[in-house]
Amino acid sequence: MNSTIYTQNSMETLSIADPELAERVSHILMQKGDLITKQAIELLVNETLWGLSVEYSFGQAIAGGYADLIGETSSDRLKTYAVLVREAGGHGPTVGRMIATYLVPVLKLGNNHLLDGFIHVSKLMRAKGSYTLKEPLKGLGSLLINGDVESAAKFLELLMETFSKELTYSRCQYFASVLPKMVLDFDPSRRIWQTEQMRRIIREDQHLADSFLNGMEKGLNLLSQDALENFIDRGLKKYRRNRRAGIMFFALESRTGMNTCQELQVTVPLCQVRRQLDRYLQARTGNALTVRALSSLPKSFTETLPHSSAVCSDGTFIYLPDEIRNFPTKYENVKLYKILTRLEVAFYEFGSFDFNHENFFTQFPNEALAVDLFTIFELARIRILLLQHYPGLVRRCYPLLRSEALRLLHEKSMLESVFWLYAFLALDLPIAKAVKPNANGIEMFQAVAELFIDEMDDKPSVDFSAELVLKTFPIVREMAASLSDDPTAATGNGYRPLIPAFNWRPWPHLYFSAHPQYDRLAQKLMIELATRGLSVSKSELKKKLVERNGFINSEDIVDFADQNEFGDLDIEKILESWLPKSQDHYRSRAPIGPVFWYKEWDNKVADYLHDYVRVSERTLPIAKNNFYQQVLSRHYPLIRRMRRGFELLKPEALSILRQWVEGDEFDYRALLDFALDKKAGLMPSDRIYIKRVKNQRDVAVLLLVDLSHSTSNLTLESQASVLDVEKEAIVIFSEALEVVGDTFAIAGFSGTGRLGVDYCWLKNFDEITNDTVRYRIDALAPQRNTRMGAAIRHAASQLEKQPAKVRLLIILGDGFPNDVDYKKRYAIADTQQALLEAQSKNVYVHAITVNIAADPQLDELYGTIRHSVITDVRELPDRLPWIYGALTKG
Amino acid sequence: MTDESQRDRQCYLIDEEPYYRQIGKEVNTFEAAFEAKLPLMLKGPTGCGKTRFVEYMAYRLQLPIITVACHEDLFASDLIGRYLLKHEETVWLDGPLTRAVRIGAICYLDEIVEARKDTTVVIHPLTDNRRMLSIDKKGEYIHAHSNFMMVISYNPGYQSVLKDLKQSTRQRFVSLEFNYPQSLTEAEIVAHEGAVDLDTASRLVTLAGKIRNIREHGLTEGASTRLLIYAAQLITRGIPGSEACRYAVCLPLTDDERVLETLYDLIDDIF
Repeated sequence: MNSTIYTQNSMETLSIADPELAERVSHILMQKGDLITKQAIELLVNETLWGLSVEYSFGQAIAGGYADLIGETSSDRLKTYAVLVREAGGHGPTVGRMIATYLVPVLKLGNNHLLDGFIHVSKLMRAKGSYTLKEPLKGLGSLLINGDVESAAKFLELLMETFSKELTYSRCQYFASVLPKMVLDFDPSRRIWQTEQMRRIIREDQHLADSFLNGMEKGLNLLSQDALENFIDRGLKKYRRNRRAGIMFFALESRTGMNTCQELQVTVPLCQVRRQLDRYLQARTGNALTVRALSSLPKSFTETLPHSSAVCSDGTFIYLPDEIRNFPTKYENVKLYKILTRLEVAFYEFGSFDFNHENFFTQFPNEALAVDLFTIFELARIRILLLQHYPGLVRRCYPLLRSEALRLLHEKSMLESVFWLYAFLALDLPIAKAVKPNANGIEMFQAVAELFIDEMDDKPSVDFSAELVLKTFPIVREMAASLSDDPTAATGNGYRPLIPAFNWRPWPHLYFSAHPQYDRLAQKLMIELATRGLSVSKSELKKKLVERNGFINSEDIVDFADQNEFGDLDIEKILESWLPKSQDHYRSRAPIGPVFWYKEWDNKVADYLHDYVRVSERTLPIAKNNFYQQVLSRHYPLIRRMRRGFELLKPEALSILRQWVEGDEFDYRALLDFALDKKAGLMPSDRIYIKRVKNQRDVAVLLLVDLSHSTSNLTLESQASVLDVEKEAIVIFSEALEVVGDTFAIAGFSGTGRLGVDYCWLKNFDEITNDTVRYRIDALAPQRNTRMGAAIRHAASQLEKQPAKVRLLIILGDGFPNDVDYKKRYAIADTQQALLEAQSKNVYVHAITVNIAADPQLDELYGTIRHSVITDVRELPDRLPWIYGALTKG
Repeated sequence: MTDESQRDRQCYLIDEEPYYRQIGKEVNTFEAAFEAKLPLMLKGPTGCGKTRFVEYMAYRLQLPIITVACHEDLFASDLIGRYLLKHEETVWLDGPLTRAVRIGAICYLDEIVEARKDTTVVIHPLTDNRRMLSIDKKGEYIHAHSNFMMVISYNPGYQSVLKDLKQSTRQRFVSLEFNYPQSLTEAEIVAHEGAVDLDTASRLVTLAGKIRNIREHGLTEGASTRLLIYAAQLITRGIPGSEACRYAVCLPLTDDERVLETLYDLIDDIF
């Protein structure tokens, strides 16, 4: 009897119980053909019927498990499956269903060690409670389905270690949900040893797991295997000596922990160097070109790029690896990021993408060879131009390219034949190292190289590379055949495309297909202009559109046009009717007070969006709830201490008013004039004194308070909100400032969306701290979001008007900027830019972040010396005046 | 003109032609303003050649030039003059402005916005059609010499709104705007003034161009031509190019380590 017949016969019994299930299982089994045995089918049916009798979903899981296993594992394994599922079913259908489902991938692997581990762990966890099984087993299944068997084994060891400990119900629940998530979130290439280190931590003390997880999020995940092991060794030693210090160390909350992590860190993520690279690109090109992670490259492009690509670009972004750990030191890895960026930007600087490659390569019998040849000439041209303009760059970058090329040469026995030409022309590798000992090949290759050198002028354009391809293709094609071990190399079928060092080469297809919208616009505009008798190249139009984020002006068109005379043609009018009108999807409330428009920095295009954010000044309603007075009486001793401290704060530069009618001492210059005038018989001036005035101290300070919704959170062990504590700090700060006599203002900000940023004065620079100001502080309440950049720009523009030598902006916030369409990197980048603009206006910015733990991203946002973190907001009233004192002390 | 005036005049004449590379039509405009007896205001970033231009024009027109660097303690009497004691006698001593008015010189008030506002007012009668200076202490009114010319300069880039010139002062001047020259011209200037070859000068100018691209990244001003000349002069005296740029261009520009790192990267590329 063949397998189909007994499958059908056996399924008849199952179909009586559940026809749909029977049909589904039959369908799976049919596809397995002769691998099915009668015993296996009978086992499936009997066990499924038993499972269905216990609970419907359990039976379904059993049927699915058998259907999956039959034909793919031995009959012994099937029996093991039956035994284990039966046993699990004895503990209830839920446990049975989980085992029936997640045991399948383990059995399919046929790994006894893994199976034993699975059995042991599932028993152990079941003993703690069946609720602990689901997520870990599901995680294990995902690892096995993805073929990560070693990690799965490690994960089982971790579970074993964890659940062998005495755990409370809540800790069991916690580990059951956290551990699988953590292991799956680990980078696959580091998962095994990171899991192992987690096991070490838990072996020491399960409570350390929380600190370790925090540390992993803050930077431990970037450590190499040895470095992480080293870190854990040090941490455990510390923990055994001092538990508190160890916990802080693992969580990277202590200075030692952060420094050790920093010292051991070798891997460099792109986010760490991104700002630096963006600034470099801006400096080098003057254009809005920024870096992005290769993982963010659209899938359609990733498929067309070789896996070894370390860098590529699409006209708006330079794509770089998400992280680099090629070298043993962090310094070298950062350097590689810089080198790749410096090289890639050369394609933009020297016009590699100015060549319209459409239909060019298809004319060659071996298109791939023609593309490679173009690449080689282009890379050689870039090298020559870099040598002319950036000799230091060539000295620093090319040795790395050469050593990478030599590594490729040694690693790959079957290198593409044009690699030799690439090494010589593009990298200037000495001929003996670059060329195979093949006399005939060398001669031909030398001929090509000589042609390149002879025909090149001082400023070769990309067209020169294309022309050389046309000229040398036949010779190189012959050379490729003679140097290759594969006789079909020259025809194209057996040709292996060139893989340069780090795969650094121009990718014109990426550049030209990355912005289809601009391609269409360029096409339309070209036709539009052509109908009016103006001939303009589509590629030039597109290039400009990409550079300017979709905008182009009449001057560009005049530059591109072939002719000089335009007659009555009004290009501006054509563009006006053609360019898409900007659509504003944002509607907001009508502004109440004065309105100000500010630009915003878009990090995606590395350029400003002009007049993009509307800031409206609002007057805060007053509230007579006596908050101010209560704070004064509650903190009387502190305020008295502050006042005394601030009395001692001598201004750095007192204003000296000369020729004053009264003052501290004589102005000798005026006194001399007085004597001389008197002697000359003239009426002397009575302005003969110098006056030192305190009321014109050279400091103006604006305290900018974030009024976002998150400030309504309650503080630890208290019913007061974060904002309540901030308000207390404002009261004490105001009282202290009154003593020192500095010009000061207090403002709050919040809002929703780019058209709804509210800025409210609590105290303006020219106001005195009167009852109205006090009532405004009383009325302060949490509002909406934090569009930090606009608030800083407005505050800086207000401060700029103050006649002080030192203008200080203190930002008081409780976290990162966040608003509608203003999140994460975008919000941070705009805030950083606003801070730089403030700096350019000679406004010194100091940020105080309360109620969150120290975060390296805060350093990135404000700079290491320009912010204070006060994790416990309750310290703020005490700390704020002292921070100010330290900032302005002479 | 008295002998004393003649001697004064000689003192303030420039003997050697200062090097100045004309950028646009500034020379013609200056000459026209001089001929029409109009005061001139030069606006531009620091170190772009404003002072050098005035010196060059003084030489070209064979006019004496008296320069005053303005500051916040500069009083009207510092410009106009004062009585001094001499052998039990009071002697009047002309200030630089009065001297320029008498001898027919260019009076160049550098960074005028730094001066106190009550001081800048004294130049008002000299900068309209009256062209006269009132010396209250002596009760004297002087009509300006026909060759007298008032030239002021300021840098709009880093001044706050409060230090801006009052409209009543601004609207008395013909204004010329200066900026950093085109790269080739700037390289010629740097090569000449720094006594380096054109290639080195071009590299310095390339560096300056790149630095000016990131002006909004925390730099108050871009790298000036003057700083490039300083770097060139250090190079001429044997300091390697990259070091000279660090000392003369980068460190004076900013203290921000992150911006400095970018500047150093650019130097490493170019040198």
